[in-house]
Amino acid sequence: MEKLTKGMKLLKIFLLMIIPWTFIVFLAPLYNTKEPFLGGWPFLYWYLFMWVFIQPVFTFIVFRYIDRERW
Amino acid sequence: MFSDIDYAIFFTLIGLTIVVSFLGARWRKADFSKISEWSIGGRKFGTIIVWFLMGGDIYTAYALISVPGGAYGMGGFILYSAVYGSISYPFLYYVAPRLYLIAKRKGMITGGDYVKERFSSPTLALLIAITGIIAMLPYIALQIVGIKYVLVAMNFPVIESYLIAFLIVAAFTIVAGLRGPALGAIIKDVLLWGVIITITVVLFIQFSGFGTVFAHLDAIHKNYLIPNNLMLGYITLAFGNGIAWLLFPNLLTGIFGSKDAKTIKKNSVFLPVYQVWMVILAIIGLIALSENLIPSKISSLAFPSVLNAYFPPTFVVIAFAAIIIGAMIPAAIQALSAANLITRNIYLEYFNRRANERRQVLIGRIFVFVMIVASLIFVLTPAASGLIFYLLTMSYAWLLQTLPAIILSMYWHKLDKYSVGAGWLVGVAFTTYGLFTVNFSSSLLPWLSYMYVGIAGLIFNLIVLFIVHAFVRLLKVRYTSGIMPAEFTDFDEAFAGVKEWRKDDFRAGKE
Repeated sequence: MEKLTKGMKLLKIFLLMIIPWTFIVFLAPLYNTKEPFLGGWPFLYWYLFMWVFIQPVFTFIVFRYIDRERW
Repeated sequence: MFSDIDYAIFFTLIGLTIVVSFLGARWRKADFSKISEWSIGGRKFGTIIVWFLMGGDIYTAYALISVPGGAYGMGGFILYSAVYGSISYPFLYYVAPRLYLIAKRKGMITGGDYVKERFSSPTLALLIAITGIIAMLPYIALQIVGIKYVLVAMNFPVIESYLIAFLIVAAFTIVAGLRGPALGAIIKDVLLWGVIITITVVLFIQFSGFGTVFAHLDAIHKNYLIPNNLMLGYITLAFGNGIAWLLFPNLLTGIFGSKDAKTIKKNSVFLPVYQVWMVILAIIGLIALSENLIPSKISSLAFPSVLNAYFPPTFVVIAFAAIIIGAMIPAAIQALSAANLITRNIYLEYFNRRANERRQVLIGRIFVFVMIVASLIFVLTPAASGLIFYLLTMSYAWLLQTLPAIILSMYWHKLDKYSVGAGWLVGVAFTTYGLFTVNFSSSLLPWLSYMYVGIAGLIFNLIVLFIVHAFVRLLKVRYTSGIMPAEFTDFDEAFAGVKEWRKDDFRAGKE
């Protein structure tokens, strides 16, 4: 019944929960700054904008290489 | 400022969507006298349709009216909306396949169905269903209020207009079930994508990549960061909404309506791209602030006022129509999900166990109206005339209290109904009390360092849950589950060979 090894399960939890929760939510006091600006955008805004694209990559890695699903 | 032609375009677009949605009922012929067909479209939806359906659900008056309004009123704080979206999809990926697969195996179509089976407890199912229903009300209210602000921006008589709009929504929800909104959602998404991309490109050029917006805000000393005193509020709000998001009954309906678990996984990989809007919409709200575009200072007018200031009237009315359609369709889906919950988990369970399918469908149709009318309570709260994004956060605050029953119970097989029930009671009571202490004007508690009421409630919920569970185990209280631990799986293949889901399983009264 179990399809994933313990390590894979742990990695999945990291990629889908621990990493996004930490970097996108809990680190808010650290990313809530103006500097450095990028193209006139304060750090707060471009940092979060970037994560909109980074997280789907992690999710895809889980989809393809941990769950071994085909697109 | 708007010509007759503009008004004509406005009404044609809205009318067309409704007509197409009516026709949608004929699309993929189905037997609508069956409640399962009527409410989840017979589980035939593929990736594309589910994508539109879920997108249509997520990007609503909330995104277009309340997010720019929140940026206008509270600066960077509103970025919580982009943040919770970004964490909610991976969380969905982790938990939803498991929920979908067990639901498919057991023929469940609501969260309450699952809870009833998992804890062998109709009572707990009732509590969960009621929570879902109450949580829908502020959400539907948010859509109504969103439509109201668009009409205000177009100088319409407000009350008459939005009542009519919602009667239409209710009518077509009833005729078409999920199929109508699904087809309408395609129009809505095409329209909204077109509008949002145009607006973004034009404003991006106008304000040199938005850099000048921030520079000007700095010059006039307006804050666009997260206010430091609200940091705990921001974190708890973003986190709480992110994990509560999929507990929305209408989202669960979308999940249960998927073709297979892989479809859900695929959706959670590429749906987050929609989150780009949240950041852009927040910046658009900042434009209203930096250019001082709202003489009345009503924050919810931020998006309409930016449109009025930088775009020709004909485009503005198209955008307005898109926003209204974008509020109408999800409101219909939400009301439908709630009506579904009432029929399945309350009416069938407590009032008429032997109701035939025809009667169930009738009850469902009645409750669609009841829900829309009941949501008017929240239209009257201070949040509805202030920062309307708080309405949505109230929904999530209550939904968070069902997290142990629906999510935790899939992984923690020894979890019993007594501890979940007790935790729920304390969590909901605290959340409701907390909202009363701020008069339903926000969902952050000033007396708890502005912590989000839903997370505070969940903490108490879990504490009580653990304590009661310890006693249950210590006293060896007996409890059962209708689902074996081994029946839970995260993969479609594990399902192969098992009896396929059949429509007959849904026959009324069959346990």
